[in-house]
Amino acid sequence: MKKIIFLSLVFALTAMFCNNAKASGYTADDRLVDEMFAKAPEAVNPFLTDFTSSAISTTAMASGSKDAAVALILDFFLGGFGIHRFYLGTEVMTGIGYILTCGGIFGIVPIVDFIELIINYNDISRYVNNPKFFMWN
Amino acid sequence: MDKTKVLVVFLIFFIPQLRLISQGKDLVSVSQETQVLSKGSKSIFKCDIYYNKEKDVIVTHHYYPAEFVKMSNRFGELKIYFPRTNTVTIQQNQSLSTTNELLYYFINNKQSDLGLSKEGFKLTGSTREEGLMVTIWQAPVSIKVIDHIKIVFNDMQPVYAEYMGVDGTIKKKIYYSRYTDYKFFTIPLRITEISFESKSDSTIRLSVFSNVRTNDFPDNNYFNFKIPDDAKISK
Repeated sequence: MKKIIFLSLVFALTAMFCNNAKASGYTADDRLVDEMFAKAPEAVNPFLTDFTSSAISTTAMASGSKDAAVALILDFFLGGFGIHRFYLGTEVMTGIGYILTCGGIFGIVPIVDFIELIINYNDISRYVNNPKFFMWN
Repeated sequence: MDKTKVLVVFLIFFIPQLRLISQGKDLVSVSQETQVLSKGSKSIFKCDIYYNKEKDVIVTHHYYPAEFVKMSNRFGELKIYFPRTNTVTIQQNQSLSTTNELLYYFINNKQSDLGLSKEGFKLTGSTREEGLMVTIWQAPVSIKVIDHIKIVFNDMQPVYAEYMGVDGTIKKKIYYSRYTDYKFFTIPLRITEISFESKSDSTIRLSVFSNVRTNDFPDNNYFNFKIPDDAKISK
């Protein structure tokens, strides 16, 4: 009898563990994610500092009256719609391409755009009036 | 006092109260903090969102790291106002409609497909898995990079979305958690999004919502925010 109870308990615990293991595939490990963010240093880029300074319109950030900080903000919040590309100047089809690919291949293209804009913050002229879907190409 | 006077007094006091109750239901504000972790460093963005359900107008006041105000409506009119430079950027595209914003789906209790059917996705299968509902949405032909999207529901609320590429690799995972019930809707207070750029590189975007309010807005003008008449249009 004890053996049956023991086996039943083991089975129940195993089933519970397996259930949790399977369900955990659909839940993020919040603690791990929080730890990763806590450990990461905040990006030191001109976007975070210069935008609030009064020198924004007099520095090299502007290229052909296009402001790199504005492009970055638009990319971050509305990148999926290609709004930053419209702001920088591009073909209508490029913006439509972002929408048709569910936000630039599901948000991946705007992220790459974002990184490119940060790296080339002081000179974004190559992205202004750029008709290509991948502006960094 | 005769009945007519009583009725008039009642209407004078009661009708404005009804209007206030209605406004409380139609106005929702939420604070949002988003962190993006990419290439070893993080960027932090903070904003407050003001949603007028009746007008389908969303005003978002971004205040960190930069201040600007984004206004959009159901017709896809989008205005972004930068107070410091007193400039405004204007766009119009149906895809920019408030009806495409994530908050719209949750506040209006339309989270059953997260807008996928509107984008041409077709529900091709659904199964039960450990008490969860797993649905598969086939991408339309026009979307060439994604084959299908898996959305997992728990108690009718999406908890997980997975974007599968045509090459058989996962392009993106989204986790919706910390669901909280408010009087007229339920929203996830935490959304974790992982985008896979390559086999070895990914970006994590964590959005945390707080301070959800539905009827108490002392001295808040963002619901009726107006761009100054002398704002310069940025082209």
